[in-house]
Amino acid sequence: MLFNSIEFFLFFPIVTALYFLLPHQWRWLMLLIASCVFYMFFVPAYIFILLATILVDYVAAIQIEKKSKPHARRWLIGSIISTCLILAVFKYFNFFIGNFNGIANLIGWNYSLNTLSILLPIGLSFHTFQSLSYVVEVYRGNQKAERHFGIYSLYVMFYPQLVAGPIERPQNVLHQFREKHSLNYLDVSKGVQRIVWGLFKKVVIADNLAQFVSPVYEHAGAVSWMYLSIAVVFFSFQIYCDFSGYSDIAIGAARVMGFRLMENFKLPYRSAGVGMFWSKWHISLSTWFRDYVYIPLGGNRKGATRTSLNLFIVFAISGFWHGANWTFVVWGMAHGLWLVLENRMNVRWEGKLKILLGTVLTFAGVSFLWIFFRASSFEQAIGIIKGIATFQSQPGFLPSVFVPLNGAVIIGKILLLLVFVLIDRKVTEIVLGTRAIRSNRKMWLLAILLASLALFGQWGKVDFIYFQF
Amino acid sequence: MKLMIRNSLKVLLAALAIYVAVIFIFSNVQLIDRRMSSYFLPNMQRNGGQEMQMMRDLTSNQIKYDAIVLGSSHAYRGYDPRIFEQAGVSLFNAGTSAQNAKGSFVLYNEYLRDRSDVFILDIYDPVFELEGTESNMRLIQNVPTNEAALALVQQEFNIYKLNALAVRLASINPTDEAPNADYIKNGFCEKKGILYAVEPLNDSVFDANEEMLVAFEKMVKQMQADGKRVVLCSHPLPASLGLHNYHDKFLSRFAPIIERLGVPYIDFTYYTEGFGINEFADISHMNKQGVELYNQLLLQNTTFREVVIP
Repeated sequence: MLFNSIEFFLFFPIVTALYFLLPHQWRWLMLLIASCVFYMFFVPAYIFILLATILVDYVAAIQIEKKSKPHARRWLIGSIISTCLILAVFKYFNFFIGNFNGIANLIGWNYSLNTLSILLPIGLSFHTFQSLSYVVEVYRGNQKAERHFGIYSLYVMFYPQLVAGPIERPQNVLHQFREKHSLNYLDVSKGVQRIVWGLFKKVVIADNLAQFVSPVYEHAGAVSWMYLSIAVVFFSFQIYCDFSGYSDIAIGAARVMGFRLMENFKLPYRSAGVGMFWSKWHISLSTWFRDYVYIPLGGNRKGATRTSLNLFIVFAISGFWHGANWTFVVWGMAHGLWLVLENRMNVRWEGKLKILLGTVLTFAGVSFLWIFFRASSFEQAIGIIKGIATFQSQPGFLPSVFVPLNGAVIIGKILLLLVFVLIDRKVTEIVLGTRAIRSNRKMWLLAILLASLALFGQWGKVDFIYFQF
Repeated sequence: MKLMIRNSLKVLLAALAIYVAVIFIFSNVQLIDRRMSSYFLPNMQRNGGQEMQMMRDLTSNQIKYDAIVLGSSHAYRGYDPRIFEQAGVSLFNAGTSAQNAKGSFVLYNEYLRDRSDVFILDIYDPVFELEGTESNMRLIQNVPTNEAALALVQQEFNIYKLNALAVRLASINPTDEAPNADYIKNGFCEKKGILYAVEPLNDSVFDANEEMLVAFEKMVKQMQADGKRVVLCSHPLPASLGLHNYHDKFLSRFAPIIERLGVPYIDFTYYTEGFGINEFADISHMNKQGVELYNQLLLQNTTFREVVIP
């Protein structure tokens, strides 16, 4: 079920109302059933894959807690392997087979393996990572193994963050399912504000920009460098509004019921330097990699060279986590390299003007690398970069898909984006409660956002980008 | 709880006030060549164009025509009333851009039922895939009465159509913002030029919008119940497009419907004799030569004549 669908606007109030109407001891069950329904709106059968992950890690965590260290380690490794195996089969199998066939073809070995005709279960990378964080935390002794199978299942399946995060830690969330939340004006008000702001970012900004970005990427060779450049900038904001909008809705929906999920974004494009960018972008994933990959690799404790290598490895894996395609790997490695260089050269942006320059350069660099993230192939990404770099002129006629995207519509989208850039920081701070504002002004702000959803929203047209991961 | 309800109502009322104010401004303030609504509101269509010209022609008199054509741009660009007139058939072309069965049905019920006993339904496969928002929004802006506009919104409610209705209601003295220079008469537009280049089409899958197929069947049944004679037609398409896979898939889905309805379907999609690039204005529309050739083919077709000229 998509957050920007009519089904969710029925689902959400019903589930919330039931949550508060039911006695506390039945709430977990209702939330679990609701989360199953939410997930099964996509491909119902894939709930069994989710169930397998839950079952494996539930049993493993209990065994890890019971056993002595060497045995516990075996259970941990077993749990990690089996969870990753599910990810490998559904997400990476065809990628590996494709590469194997490519290499075989290259060396003249006339043999090719068949790929699997399967769909990637939605949000698989997210809930497998959440599940893994649980067993690791139990192994480290930071979290007690959950004996209640239903509560543990809810930890993995809690519908607001099931398909695209934030990737939670058991210490932050698990205990909240046992706590009794009562209907609270502050939670409802804050939660609804967050949902409305998230929806605004998704349906008004991201999906309006997507209308231009998608055809340009599809027909990169048939449009001018100006179109390509606009699409590159648009995509930077599309992906930010799409994903941070999703996170806002997730955090808001949970907050209405009294649950607190971790923050996932902190105005990332206001970063002078890639290091700062990654401390504000997809925070739940960055910290996941920090806690479970970077630090176990040695972090920054083994000298400068090893630190650089560790950073590079983490970003390469992070790229691969995003998608089974070399474009994602290149995107991840480029970010890793950039961060290593930034650290090694000790780049600092101090003073107002320098910070501004650093912010602009960081945005330009991040936007450039998004080309690899968005492109469906390496060739497409190179084609776009080449088109911009060589000031590609308009070759022949524009494909017919651009007919509805005339100059006036593009200008409308640019104006919409400018408005967003101007209000993003203030509204985010107001919604987070870090900027004080008189209550009647807040009411008008919320009313403007609601009216904008009806007036300018693109409803039900574009999936959330991160659902594919 | 009281506070929550009171504040929610306040916010909703304020949002409604903002919505109404913005719609009013966007519907009446001109920016360069059109109202603000067509710049900023998603999927909003410009007021006027072929739809407005056609509706004006249709409602300016009460003539009963020998036949009326319904369908997409293939319809309003593919059946020339002047050619039919020479064969003694008075024809009105009520096709509109991307018009689907739901839109056709509203036009039939509101304006066309008493204007002819014969209906020619132009069949163009992609129209059965679309959800029809763009087409219906054009009609909502341009049908002469608010009742018909409301009926179009009710066909399948969504926020875009509601916005289109709101813009329509808020517009004071709307003018024709986009007159169609190709407009000839009785709804017909003559597309000029010849096919410049063939853009490859997605030939792989016909992904039917089941609701459109159901709406189509419902409309034809209603026409039959009203005693109307119905014929389905498809005009030729540039042979080089290689549409066979796509059209075959459409036919396999469409054939049982035609069989149930018992209506003749004259399908010229694959017809190539005499149709080269000189007969097409673009990849899916015929130009003047193409229309002349196609209309003559129809008028010579026995099945067509049996329905249209009994």
